[in-house]
Formats: sequence, C-alpha cells, structure tokens
Amino acid sequence: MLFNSIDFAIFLPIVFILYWFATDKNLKLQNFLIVVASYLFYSWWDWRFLSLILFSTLIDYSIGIRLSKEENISKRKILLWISILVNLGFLGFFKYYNFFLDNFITAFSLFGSPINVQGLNIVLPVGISFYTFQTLSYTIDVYKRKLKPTKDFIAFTAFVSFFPQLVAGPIERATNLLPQFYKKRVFEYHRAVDGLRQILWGLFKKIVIADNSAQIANEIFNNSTDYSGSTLVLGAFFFTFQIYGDFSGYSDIAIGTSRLFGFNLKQNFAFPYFSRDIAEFWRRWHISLSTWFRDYLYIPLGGSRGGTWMKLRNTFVIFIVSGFWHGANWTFIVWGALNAIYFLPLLLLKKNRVNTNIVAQGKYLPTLKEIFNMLTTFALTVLAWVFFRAENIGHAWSYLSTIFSKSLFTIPYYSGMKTPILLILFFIIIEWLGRESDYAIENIKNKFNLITRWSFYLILIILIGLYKGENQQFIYFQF
Amino acid sequence: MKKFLIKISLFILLLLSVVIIGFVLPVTPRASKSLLYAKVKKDNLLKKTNNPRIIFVGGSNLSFGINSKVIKDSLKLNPINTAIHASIGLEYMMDNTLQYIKKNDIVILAPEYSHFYGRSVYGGEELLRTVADIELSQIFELKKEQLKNISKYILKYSFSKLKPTEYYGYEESDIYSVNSFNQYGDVYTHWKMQQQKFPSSDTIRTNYNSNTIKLINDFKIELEKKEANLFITYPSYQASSFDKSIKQIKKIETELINNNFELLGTPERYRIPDSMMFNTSYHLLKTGVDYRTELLIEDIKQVRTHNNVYKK
Repeated sequence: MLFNSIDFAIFLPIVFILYWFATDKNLKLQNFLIVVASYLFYSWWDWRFLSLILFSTLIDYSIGIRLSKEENISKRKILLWISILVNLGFLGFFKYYNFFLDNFITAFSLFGSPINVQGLNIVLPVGISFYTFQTLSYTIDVYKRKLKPTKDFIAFTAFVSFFPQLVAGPIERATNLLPQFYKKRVFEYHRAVDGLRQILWGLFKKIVIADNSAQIANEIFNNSTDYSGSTLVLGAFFFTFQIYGDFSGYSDIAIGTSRLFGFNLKQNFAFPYFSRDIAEFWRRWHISLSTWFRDYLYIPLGGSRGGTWMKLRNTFVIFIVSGFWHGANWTFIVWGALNAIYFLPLLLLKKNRVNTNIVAQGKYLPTLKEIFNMLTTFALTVLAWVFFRAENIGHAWSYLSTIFSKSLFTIPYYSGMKTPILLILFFIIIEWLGRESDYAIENIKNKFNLITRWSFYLILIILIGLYKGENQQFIYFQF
Repeated sequence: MKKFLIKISLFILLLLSVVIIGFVLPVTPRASKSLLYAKVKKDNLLKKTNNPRIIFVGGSNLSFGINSKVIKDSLKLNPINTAIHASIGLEYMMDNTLQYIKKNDIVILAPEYSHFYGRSVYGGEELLRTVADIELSQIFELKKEQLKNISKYILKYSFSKLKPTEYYGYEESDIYSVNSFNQYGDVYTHWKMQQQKFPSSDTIRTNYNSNTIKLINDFKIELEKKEANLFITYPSYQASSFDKSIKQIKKIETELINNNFELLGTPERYRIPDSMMFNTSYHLLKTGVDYRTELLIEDIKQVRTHNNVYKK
C-alpha cells in the first residue's frame, strides 16, 4: 500500500479509529491491532512475503530469549551468527543472488572459461533491506547486553512490522522503538496535530517535488544520448530533488503517521542539501542507515581508532557497503566509493566534524563562505547521484562524459521545466526557513495564528492538487 | 481527542467547500478556448455530415496527422475527423462516436500505442475536463475504470479554476485552441509552422492492457449492428520513438491480427521520419500530414477494392 494512494487514505483513518476507540483499554490488543494492520498494509503489495517477515520475527525473538539465558560466550556468538546468517541470507538471496551470479559468469568468461548458468527470476520483497536491519539491531543489542530481550511476542512482532516504517524506514533501533510497545500510549492532541502536519509536508515533498522532478529526470536519463551536457546537468539536478523529495517525504509520512499512534520515530533527514561539506551531508542524509552502519559496522571494525590506514579502510568499507545496500548494481558501489573519496580529505585533515551545528543558525541568510560551501557540496552530491540513477556504469560514464564536453556551454533544453523549477524554489525557501526544526514546517505552530496556519495548509493541499506529478513508485521501495 | 476530531472535521469541511466551489464554478475563459471545446463542433459534424461518410477516431495522431480535404477529394467520401487528444481515452472516443453512427459509415480507428498499455485507454485529465466543462451529465455514463482514472484529477480540476491565470492574462494558443481546427476537424494552424524542438518518446514501460482489444471488439460489434464498417490503422509515430518501443508495438500488431480486425497497413508503414514531425512524437508537420494522408488513402483504397466497401 502506498502512502500517496486512496487505499492508504481509507486504511489510515480506520486503523486510527480502531486503535484509539476500540483497543485503547488493552495494550496487548492495541499492539495486536498494529500487527494485523501492518501485515494487511504489507500484503497489499504481496502477501506471500509476509512469511519472510514472520520467519525473521520468530528467529530473532527466539534467539533473543536464548541469549538472555545463555552465559557461555561461544554459544552466545553462535546464536548471534545464526541470526545474522538467517537475516542476511534472505537479504543476500533475494537481493544479490543474480548480481553475484552474473559477476561470476563474467569473471569466468574473462579467464577464458565461459560457463552457462541461468539466473533466477527473483522478485525482491519490498522493504527487506529495512526490516532486516531493524531486526538485526535487536539481536546485536541483546547480544551486547545493551537491551533486555523481550518476552512479549506481540510487541516484538509489532516492532518488526510496524507499518509506517516497514517498507522504507526510518530503520529504527530496538532500543528506541521496542520499549514504546511496552507502554500504554496516551493520545496527545499536539503530537497528533504535529503528525498530520508532517504527513502533509511529506506528501508535498513526494507528490509535488519528487514526482514532478521524476518526470524530467526520467526523460533525460532515459534518453541521455539525445541531450547536450547542459541538459544532462538539469537531469541530474532534478534527480537530486526527486530522490530527496521521495525518500525524505516517505520518512516524514512515516514519522507523522507514527505520531498519530503515539510513537516517536527518529529524524531521518536533517536538511542535507544545506550541508557545508560531505561529512555534514552524511550526518544529515538517511540518518537511520548511516548511524546503523556506524554502530554495527564502522565501530566494530575499529572506527577512527588506530592509524591512518585503518581509518581509510574503515571509511571505504562503510561507504561501499552502504552503496551496495542500496542495490545489486555496480553503480551503487561506485556511488558509495565516490562519496568515500569526497570524504577522505576531510578525514585526513581532521575536518570531518567542523560543521556540526546548523548552518546560519538564528539568522535568515548564510554568509558568502557558507553559500560557497553549500553549493560546492551540493554540486559534488549531484555528480554522485548520476551513478546512483544510471542504469549501469557505462551509462553513468557516458552521461558524465557528455556533461564535461563542449555541449555543457550550450543552452539546455528546458521546455516544461519552468513550473517544476518554481516549485523547487518554493520548496527550498520553506526548507531553509524551517531548517532549525525536525521538519521544515514544524515551527509554524509557534509562529502563526490558526487562520494563517490553516491557510498555509490549504495552499499546500492546493499545490498538491494542482501540480500533482505522474504517480511514481517510492524509489526506496526497490532497496 | 474530541478537540482533534472537531478540528480535523472542520478542516476537511473547509477543504471540501473549496473543492466543490472550484468544481461548480462556470467554465473558465481559458478552458472555453482550449482544444477540448472542439468536441462541440465535432459532435455537430457527426450529427450533420451527410453520407457517404468516413469518420476518423483517435487521439492527436489524427488531429495533427491527416488532411481530410485530400481524403475527401480522393475517396469521394465526406470526412469527419473526431480526434482531439489521446488522454480523453479511447473508450470515451468510441462511446461518444457510436451515438452518431449512421448506416454504411466507414469508421477508421487510429489508437495511440499508449492506449494499449497501462490505463490510458480509459482516459485521464482531459477526459475529466471534457466531461466537466462541456457536458457534465455525461459523467453518469462513464464506466468504473474511467471514473477511477478521472478521480485522480478532481482536485487539480477544481483548484485550477481558482487560478487567476484562468481568467486574466492568458493567450489563446495557435495550435491547441478550439479555433485550430478546419471544417473537417483537422488541426491546420500548424501547417505553415517549422518543426519545434522536442524529445522523442520514451520506451513504453507500462503493462500491456488486454482490455483495449476487448473494448475495440465491443465497438466493432456495435458498429456492425448499425451496419457501419470498422477499420483500424496505426498512428503516425516518430521513427526514433518507434524504434524504442518496437517490441511493444509489434505486440499490438500481433494482437490486432489475432483478433481478426480489418487493418490498414502495418506499424512500420506509419513509422514517420523524424524530419516530418512537428512538436511531439505523434504530431506531424505539413509534409508529414501529406505523407501520412497519402499512405492512408492507398490503404483505404486497397481494402475498399478488396472488401467492396463503398466501392463505386
């Protein structure tokens, strides 16, 4: 079920009413309702893969309980590895089987021993990368004794399958989300209104910004050989806003929906395109994934302790794995590696934690230096997105070659782009004004009276209605 | 909770009021000049043109793609080009034409390739605008799939009527206006214009919709009941766009052949050189219009000879 569909517009109020009016007296029943709603939400896409979620849930729940009783270190390690292997096994099979097979075949062919093996026609279960990481965080935290294992199976099932963030995150840690299922939720007016406001902003990002940008980006990327370098720059620019509007829009809707049910999820995007360097960008982009890799991969590998070589290795590992997490294609790996390369100078010069505050905090406008830094970081990001969006490495390479050719200095083809550009400008202004909040329009509640607020919401809805782009699938569903 | 429910109800009420006001507002001056309004004239043509008649049904590949005068002179038939916009949906085009069909009419159907893929056969935003602006009572005649498709555009339609640019400061388009059509229903105002720069169409990526063939079959049966004849031709389609979707186009051809429709030509025959295209992959320059019209006349003559339809 898509957040921007009529189905969800019907589903959400029904679940909301049942949740607060029919099951509010009994915590277990309320959690059970979340499980049923989440499984229904997922089965809208493909009910067969519910078995995968259920299996992962059963495995991690049982291993959690076994870990709580087991003191023997070797046995504890074995239990942990069972969880890791089962979860990553599913992920590896569904997401990476054909990729590895294709690359083995290519490698053998290069050495003069062609082999003929057919790939499998595998459907990638929606959200597998997200819920796999979420359940893994539970087992690892229990193993490290950072979290007490739960004995409440319904609460655990609800934690794994919680519908607002099941298919595209944010990837919640068990330490943050699971305990919320143990406590009775109380309806809070302000939290619910805040949730609706964030949902509205998320819908605007997805339907207006992402879907309109997608139409142009798809046209240019799919026919890149027909266009000049300057037009290809525009294509990359629109993809940059497509992916941000799409993914951060999804996160906003997920977080807002959770608030309606009395849950607090962590912020997943913190205005990344206002970053002044790549390190800051990565602290602000897909925060739940970056911190997951930091805590469960980078730090166990040694993090930034040790010598320069160790730091370099760990940085490359985390960026490349992060790229590979996005998809079984070399383009994602190169995208990750390219970001690692961007990151290296900052790491080596120990400047990767220079910009930890909010840009131009407390001011309306940034300084010239801040503008320069933001634009440079933005340009680097746009270039990297070319690899992310391209069909394959050859496509990315030819795309970039055309950008860096003489045709870069020609007038781009810009027919039909005026309105999307104006909408993006409006979006950037609102994001800039709201950059000190969790999401751009959060502070509207403190600054304006009811009439102004409602007028603004109405304007957003009118803009959604007027400039609704062609419905596109959320990009991150494929991850 | 009570406060929350009251406020949310009030806001929904406010929103609904805006939507309803927008919807019931009279047609805006800009909309009344749009090409969709040509439907009124075209319906009149269907009502009043005398036998022997040849009726063209399709999207803008036809409105921007034939010279009916040449067809009239060559075939000695009275042409009616009903085509306006592909996004009205093939289903609506066929249903709307059917009510005006007379005995011995020749109907030439030229669906856009996109009508066979995804849901575009049921129409989109232009269908909503055609119905809501021109003949609202027709909304009750639309079918479930059509209503489902147009429901997505209701907000857009209502809100668009609140835009000041719908009332002031708009300019009537040369080529997309109610006045862009000649007496047969062809768009002719671009015939003296130069080619405009435009991207070729992307590969068709949506799923094949077998219902399109079923709808055409139903149309054929209804025509036969009225003793009219149906022929299907392929749209004029820009060569570079054609090559990107060759598989999808061949699939359409196979399905049409398997369903025993009377076909005029082949898709390849109507693969038009890029140099003859005007401003989209379906719209032809005058040179393209002349070229396509000649092909169509040849194909019609061939089937007339073969089938003895209106042969004199």
